[in-house]
Amino acid sequence: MEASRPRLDDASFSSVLAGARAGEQWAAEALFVDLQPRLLRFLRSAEPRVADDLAGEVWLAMAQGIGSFDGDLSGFRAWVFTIARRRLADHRRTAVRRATDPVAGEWFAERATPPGDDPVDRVLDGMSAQESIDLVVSLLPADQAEVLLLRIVGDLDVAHVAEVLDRTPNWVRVTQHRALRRLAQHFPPRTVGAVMHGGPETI
Amino acid sequence: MTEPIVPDPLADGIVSGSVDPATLPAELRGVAEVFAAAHQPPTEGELVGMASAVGAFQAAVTTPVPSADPVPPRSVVTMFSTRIPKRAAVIVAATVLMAGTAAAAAGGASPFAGASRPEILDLPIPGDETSTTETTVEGETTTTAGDTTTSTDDSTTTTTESSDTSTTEAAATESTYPGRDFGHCTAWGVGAPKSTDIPGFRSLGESAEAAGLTVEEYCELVLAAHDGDDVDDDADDDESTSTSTDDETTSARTPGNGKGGDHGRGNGNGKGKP
Repeated sequence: MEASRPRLDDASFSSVLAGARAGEQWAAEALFVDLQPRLLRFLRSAEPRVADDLAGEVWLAMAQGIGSFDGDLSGFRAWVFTIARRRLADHRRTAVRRATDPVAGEWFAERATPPGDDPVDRVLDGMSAQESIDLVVSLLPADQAEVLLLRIVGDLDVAHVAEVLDRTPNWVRVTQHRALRRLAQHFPPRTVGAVMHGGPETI
Repeated sequence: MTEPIVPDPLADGIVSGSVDPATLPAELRGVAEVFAAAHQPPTEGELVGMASAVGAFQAAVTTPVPSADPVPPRSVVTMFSTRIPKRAAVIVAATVLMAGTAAAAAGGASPFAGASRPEILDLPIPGDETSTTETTVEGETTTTAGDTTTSTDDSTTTTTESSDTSTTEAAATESTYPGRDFGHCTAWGVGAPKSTDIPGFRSLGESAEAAGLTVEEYCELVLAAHDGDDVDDDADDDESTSTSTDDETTSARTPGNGKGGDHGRGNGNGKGKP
């Protein structure tokens, strides 16, 4: 099934974009296969309950604006994630105005990390993409997490991340470096193969 | 614990998942493993709903709808992409509105009540037979202008019709010359720039051409015909006025999709790069 789906890459992007503008199904599917998982991983890491709805809004916005887009695949992804961030911000602005349900203390107690359950052990269990993204987000401040998410999930380079976040490329690089250092502190030094083949061996 | 020094190329490789964790310093291998997990290919669960999403995408692409996204609709971009057409549109709009007001004072309701905005934006004008199909898509504006035309020309039509019905009837019960042409002809004759390239006069030129006349000749007929209708119009004044007021109120209560706040931010507009 995977092989029958059209792939989206730099070489095929212009034809896919033209097809999508014309409403061609194969082109829309190519965009969906490439972008929907990225969008869902990005949105679910921030608002898991409404991620699917927000992704739908992003697709509608893409459909309405794709005729005006001009650029390459990386630029297209940056544009899509710009829309996604705005939909996310819109949702959060709306959610702030809504009443929230108080959460009992037991809820947190049930979800507290049990002793010895560190991130390394969770890696050993074989994390899904979403779990690893959620782990990164949980360990980092919001700005650092967002930079890494856009780089990992959005597959954006530093320049495009800077555009999406309306920052300078240098700020993105510095923030990314801080994020890596912070994450490294949560993952003790390890030997080769420790992740895949057995318990972590600290050196 | 010592903090690792991560050169930019190495950091890029770790983040993109293109570096083999086995080749990394020990303190970065755990991070690289997590990032590698984040780069896993899409699961079937993440592609659920592709058929419906693609269908909705196709429908939205092929059907012009009011946009709530950061990128403005193409028609607006085209219209306002240069300064000259914008100035021309403003001049024509101001002239046409003044002419419409004069026409209202002279013979009844303004022929441009609720219809000036689509003309400025170079959108199809409700009631124009050549663009009836397109105007049904623009639901809100069509309702306003279509009902106004209907109530002016056919007093038996109720004001609770749907937009499609009112548009169709407006076209079907159009009098010999569309009411909007009276205002256009008035504007044409009061010294406005006489060019059918101007959106406000484009339909006037098309109407004249369809009749096999020049714009001046066509306008003479329109103005003469309107003078003859004045007596009949007086009988409909009350209804026309009340209907127009209701329609305008309705239009004001239905401002598109309610997400216009994203327009004009600039970030993400144009070529798609914010």
